[in-house]
Amino acid sequence: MQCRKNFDTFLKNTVNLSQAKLTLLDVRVEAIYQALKADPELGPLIRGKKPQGSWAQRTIINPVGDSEFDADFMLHLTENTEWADSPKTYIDKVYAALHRHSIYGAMPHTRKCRCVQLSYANSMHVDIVPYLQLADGREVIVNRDANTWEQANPAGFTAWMQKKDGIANNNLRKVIRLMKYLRNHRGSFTGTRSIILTTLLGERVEEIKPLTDPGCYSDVPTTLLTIVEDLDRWLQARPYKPSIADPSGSGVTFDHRWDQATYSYFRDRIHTHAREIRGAYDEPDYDRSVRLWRKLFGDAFPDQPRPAASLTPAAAKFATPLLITTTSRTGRAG
Amino acid sequence: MTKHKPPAARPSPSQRRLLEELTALAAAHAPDLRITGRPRTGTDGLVTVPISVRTSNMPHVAGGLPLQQSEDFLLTLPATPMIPPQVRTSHIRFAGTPHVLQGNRLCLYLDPAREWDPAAGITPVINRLWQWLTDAAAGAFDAATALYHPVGGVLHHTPGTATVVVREPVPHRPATAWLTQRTPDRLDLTCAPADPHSHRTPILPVDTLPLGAGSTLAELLTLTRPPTAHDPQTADAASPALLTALAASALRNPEDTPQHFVLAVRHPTAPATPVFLLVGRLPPQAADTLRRLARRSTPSRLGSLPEELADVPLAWCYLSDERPEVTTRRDTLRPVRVFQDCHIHIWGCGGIGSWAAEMVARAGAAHLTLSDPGRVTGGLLVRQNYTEEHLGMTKATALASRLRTLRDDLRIDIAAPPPDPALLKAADQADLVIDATVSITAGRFLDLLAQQPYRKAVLAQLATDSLTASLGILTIAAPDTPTSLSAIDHTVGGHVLNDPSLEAYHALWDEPDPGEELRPTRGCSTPTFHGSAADLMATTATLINMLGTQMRHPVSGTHLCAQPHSGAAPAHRFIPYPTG
Repeated sequence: MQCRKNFDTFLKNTVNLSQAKLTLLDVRVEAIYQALKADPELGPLIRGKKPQGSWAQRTIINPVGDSEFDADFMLHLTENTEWADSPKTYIDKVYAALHRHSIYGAMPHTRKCRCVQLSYANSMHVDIVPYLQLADGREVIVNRDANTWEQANPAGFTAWMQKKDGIANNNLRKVIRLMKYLRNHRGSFTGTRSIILTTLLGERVEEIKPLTDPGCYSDVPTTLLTIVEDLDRWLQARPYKPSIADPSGSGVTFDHRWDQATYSYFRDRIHTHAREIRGAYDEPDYDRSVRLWRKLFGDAFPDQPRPAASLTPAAAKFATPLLITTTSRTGRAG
Repeated sequence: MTKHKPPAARPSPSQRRLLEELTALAAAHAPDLRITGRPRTGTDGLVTVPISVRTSNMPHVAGGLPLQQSEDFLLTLPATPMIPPQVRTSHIRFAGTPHVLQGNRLCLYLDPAREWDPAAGITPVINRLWQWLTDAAAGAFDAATALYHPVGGVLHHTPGTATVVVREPVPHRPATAWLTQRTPDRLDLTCAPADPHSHRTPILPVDTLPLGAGSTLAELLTLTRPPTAHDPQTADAASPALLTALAASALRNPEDTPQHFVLAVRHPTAPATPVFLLVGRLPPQAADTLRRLARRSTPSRLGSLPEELADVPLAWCYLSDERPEVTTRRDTLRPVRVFQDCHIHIWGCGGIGSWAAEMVARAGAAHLTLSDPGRVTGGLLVRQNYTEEHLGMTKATALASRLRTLRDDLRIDIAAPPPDPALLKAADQADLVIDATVSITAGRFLDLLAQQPYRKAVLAQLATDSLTASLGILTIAAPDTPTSLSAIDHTVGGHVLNDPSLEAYHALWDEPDPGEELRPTRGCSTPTFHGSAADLMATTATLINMLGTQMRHPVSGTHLCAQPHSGAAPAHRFIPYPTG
């Protein structure tokens, strides 16, 4: 069975990052941004900010146990020609601005390859990614390790995601979250980075698919089945690690972010999951189907209370005589 | 200055190809098909080829068209392959035979758009000619369908004229009818004036029109003479009765208005059947001339056709002949035929009800009772059957106004919503009550009506899913059972929820999740649902077809259906309510 309602509950209660945490992210990122703008040295260079990564693409999920959850945001800076020969200067300057700050300077903060990371006490960190549009038109972020520019096209990636999610009736992002949950919480295909997983899943969504298979993106479980089976077929046709291009059209690839061993493991795991998803989806018995979904997603996958036909909800606080009607709305419209 | 003769027109590539094919065909089928002269290209770009078809071997039956040993034709090839070639004769011996226009033009294509393939070449044309001759000789044309072409033929249509709508019987005798302009493109023909602006229009009986009705008043008066006296070469032998009737009507119609007339033509082989109709029009200037002449001398004393009117061009109006005796409804074999002449209550005129009402109205329901006090607002136009004109009106009132534009003869009442006591007799008086409200109160009220002994109406509830509007549910309580719709819904719901193969339909019995419904405006707005006009029209149409199928032999139970694009399976399932 599809167990659509179970998936809705699973996503809402277990997989998705809670609204409270999302709000906290918003507040903290805004505070950091205002602090950096107020910095006398860095502030004049700052042109804006925009969310990035899974936070921006709404594919962020709850972290495992006490693990940290994070948010990336791009700090849009004006190009300083004096630093043209040393792109890492931008990261250093952001780091220095945080370091000078009365609050953030006292918090753990460190320079990473492409960002400055600021850590909070309660299992959360924020990655600040300097981003520039160079005079020659290139949109770039910094690779501090190599002290070079890396091409980026955040707007292109967002547009790609919106297009693919639209084709999938807004179910692609939910499927990506489910697959990330499978990776993080179930320990499946570890080693495959989120950007690669997102790209591979998103690239499987095609406009022509619903023409030959109507309803294939109609709800979350069906979309999960469709995309994972399509991904499985694609992977099985490629024994060797394929080149994965950035779908934003930046021209770069993600090839360096995994190797043949990681790829082969991922390929095998997806093959297994495709079979498991098909088994749970096609299982006609509700209880057995839920057991199969749980085998895949773990015990957090809920056993949704099944609705009774047009009966007063038993959980109502004030019991009423059993009526052949309902006091709440059914899923009907006229 | 030397005077040059203009170069002779040359056949187009497509005409050359047809000529080559014709030559090859004639060579292969001599002497059945012969080219008897040189092709000529006219200044109009048409190529005309004389051909001869051997007809001596064609079986002839009594009453069939007499044929000579061979028959000659002129085959005309248009400059573009997009138009089919034409075939005509240089004589009028075939006049009066079905599919002969104006006495000498054979109608080989009733619908060129579907019958003429520009890529097929000349062979199908010759085959159609051969078949026409064979059928004509054998008397094989069906008098009922093979029209005698001068009546209602395609030549009697002048571009730019209004369409004349005829719904009342038209006699085959001299009479006066009335034409009323309803829209710039429509004139209604009635036996009595519809309003003060209606114009008198003479009905002129004609026995046959083997050569058509002509394009000038002189031709018309000549061609409508009795066939026994027929002589197309005599132009001055006008029909005095026709001229008198035209003048009498024109005299009593306003100046500067055209004068229409109706020719009521008998079928040549079935004179007892309803007459065929042609509606012609004299232009305003000619009508004014006729008025002036009639004022000088009474219409009956006009005598022969005045010279100044002889060459007046006639316009022929397109006719929408909707007389019941000559028209067959296009839906008589479809499920909705059962709604014809019914009295139907429709409670709830929203996404389902507003479309359901239109469908049963178009299906011929005689009487609708509508109920929905809700108001039409702009956001509803994306999916409900309303227009900008209806904003601010109550839905029932707005829907009634829309339905009245669909059919003149539809009776529509507006009722208060259930449980108004005035509706207590609804199930006894109507043939069908459709509840499309998704209202618990309305459902309860229907339960009450279901208990009424000897109720007449089938009770039905229609709804869609609140997520996509692409699933449909139809619950029916047959007249011979007192079982309430609630009980049927409850029992069927239990069955559906316990059937994993019907999981796609579980949502119809389940409370929607918070995110599924839509709050279209800010604040404490009423939750509504997603769905487009396409979803709702399609789902409603499916439900109405199911209902129509069941109306003849109603069985209590529930239909579930899904639109193809939803991917929900099964696409349809009927779950009967267990009896006994």
